[in-house]
Amino acid sequence: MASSSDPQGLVQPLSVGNVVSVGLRLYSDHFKQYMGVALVATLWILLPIVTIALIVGFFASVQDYYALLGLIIPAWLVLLAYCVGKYMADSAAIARLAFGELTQQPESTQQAKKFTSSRLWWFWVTSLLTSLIFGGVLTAFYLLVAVLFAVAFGAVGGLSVLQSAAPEAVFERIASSPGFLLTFGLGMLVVVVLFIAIFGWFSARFSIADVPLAIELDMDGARSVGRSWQLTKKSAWRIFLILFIAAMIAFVLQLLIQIVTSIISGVLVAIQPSGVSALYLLSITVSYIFAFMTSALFLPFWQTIKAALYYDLRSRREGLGLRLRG
Amino acid sequence: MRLFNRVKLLTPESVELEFTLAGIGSRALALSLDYTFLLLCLLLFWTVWGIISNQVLNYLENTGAAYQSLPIWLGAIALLVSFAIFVGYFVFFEMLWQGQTPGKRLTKIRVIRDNGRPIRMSQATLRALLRPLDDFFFTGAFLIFFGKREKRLGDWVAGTLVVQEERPQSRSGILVSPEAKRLAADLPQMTQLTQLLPDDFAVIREYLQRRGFMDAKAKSELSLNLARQTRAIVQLAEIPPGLTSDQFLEAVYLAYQEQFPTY
Repeated sequence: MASSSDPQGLVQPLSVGNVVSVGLRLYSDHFKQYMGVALVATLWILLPIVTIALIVGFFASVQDYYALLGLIIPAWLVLLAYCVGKYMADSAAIARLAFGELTQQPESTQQAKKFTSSRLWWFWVTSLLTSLIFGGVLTAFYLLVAVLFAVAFGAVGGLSVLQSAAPEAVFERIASSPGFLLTFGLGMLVVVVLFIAIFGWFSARFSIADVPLAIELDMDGARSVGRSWQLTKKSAWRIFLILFIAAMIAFVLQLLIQIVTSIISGVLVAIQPSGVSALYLLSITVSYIFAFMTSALFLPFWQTIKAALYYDLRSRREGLGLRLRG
Repeated sequence: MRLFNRVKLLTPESVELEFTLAGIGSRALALSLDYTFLLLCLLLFWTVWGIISNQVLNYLENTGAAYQSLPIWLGAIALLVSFAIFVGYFVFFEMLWQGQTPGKRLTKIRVIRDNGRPIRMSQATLRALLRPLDDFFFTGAFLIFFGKREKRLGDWVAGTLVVQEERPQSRSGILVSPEAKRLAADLPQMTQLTQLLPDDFAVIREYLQRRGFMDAKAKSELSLNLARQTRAIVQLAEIPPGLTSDQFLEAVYLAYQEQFPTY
């Protein structure tokens, strides 16, 4: 009988912990392949940064030809947009590759990258849409907190501060009253919990916004966001837990990298006590390289977990993989 | 590709058992749940202990007895009890539920001995005592993550494994409509039910169990597909008119189960 622990046919949906385990297993089994894609993706982000550094360097040393800026700045913006799009498309290719493994229809790296690159600008649409939604939620949340704060302030006698001739004294009196402190403390706690709950919920609902775009046929940027919303329905808190566990493991791995980095920079300091400026430059370079590598290292981590999550949601919500022989 | 590490164990009776190891995700989840419960237990204990200590000190203050050394004692006892709660939590539950703590129970994983048997007091205690060492700089997490058998220090010393709990196939949760029941009675005569393999039956059952959670549109498509394939396999000319694909699948499920009760 098929069961979720059956290595071949993943007929049953995965548990919370198993989504994370499956994602990590996919990553460790294809470490070289996914890491390669992630390194290239991260290099795409580096390209506009290097370019702008060169441009700044050029104008700083030449101090002329400023008219060219009218041409260079738009060109650089286009380059930036393209490179970020490339980064997103390549990242999504990792999710596509991982999903292919799960459905036993593996693709080559080239095939996956070609597919996601053809939708490069749609990835921009997807990420702009999700950013807009999150921006809206954030604004609404701030407004809510501001209103709550104003009401609470009024309730503890804040109006007298505005009416009084010596507002500071009245304010001090209120601020030192135990009732105010208690309300304030509890209020802050409620706000923090509310913040985590609301953003956790929304993050869960949009956690796989770019995955359908990387995998499904007949998709576009907006529909991919809609798909994420539709697939994650009824599963928000389960996904929140998955993201939480994944973040916890990511934190542990980050710690390991942190330790390695500090050992290396410690060794650098020890072996080269002279030449302060050269050492400074070296340690800066090393830390940049490490930041670059770390970001590349964690890209497949999240992409494979997203692929496993997407697979699991498809299985739960659409019965993916449920078919009779033949 | 294997998504989970598996182990094959040979019992002294030469029976081969296969287990799926728990995996880092489930173990991390179980641990964070257990530590949350443990923290709540400790908070409760400290609150109660604090209140009691306060009362005792107040009482002694009124009697005028010499009690200068008492606060230190109370603190020391509190520390000892806290440690006992920390170790006892894991040992108590792993004894009570045969290798499961509340967190492990919720995540459906279990501690077993290397030979596949349930753990005993000594293994549970060793695992619990070595836990702080495993938590130190997340040593245990790295060992689980990179090791083939997913063992942390406590597991190595105690000789234990953490495995996924095999879920028994439940038959509950499938509602069968009256129409399907009626058809199910006739199906064995009308069709070649024997053509349906146990694996196919498992898929149909799986669908019927999980359809409630599915997206309406995707569900009706899947249902139609499965019904069409099933109809072809059991060599039925056409699905009786007036019946939905879901009802047909329910009928096949029921008829098959009656014919082959072991599945």
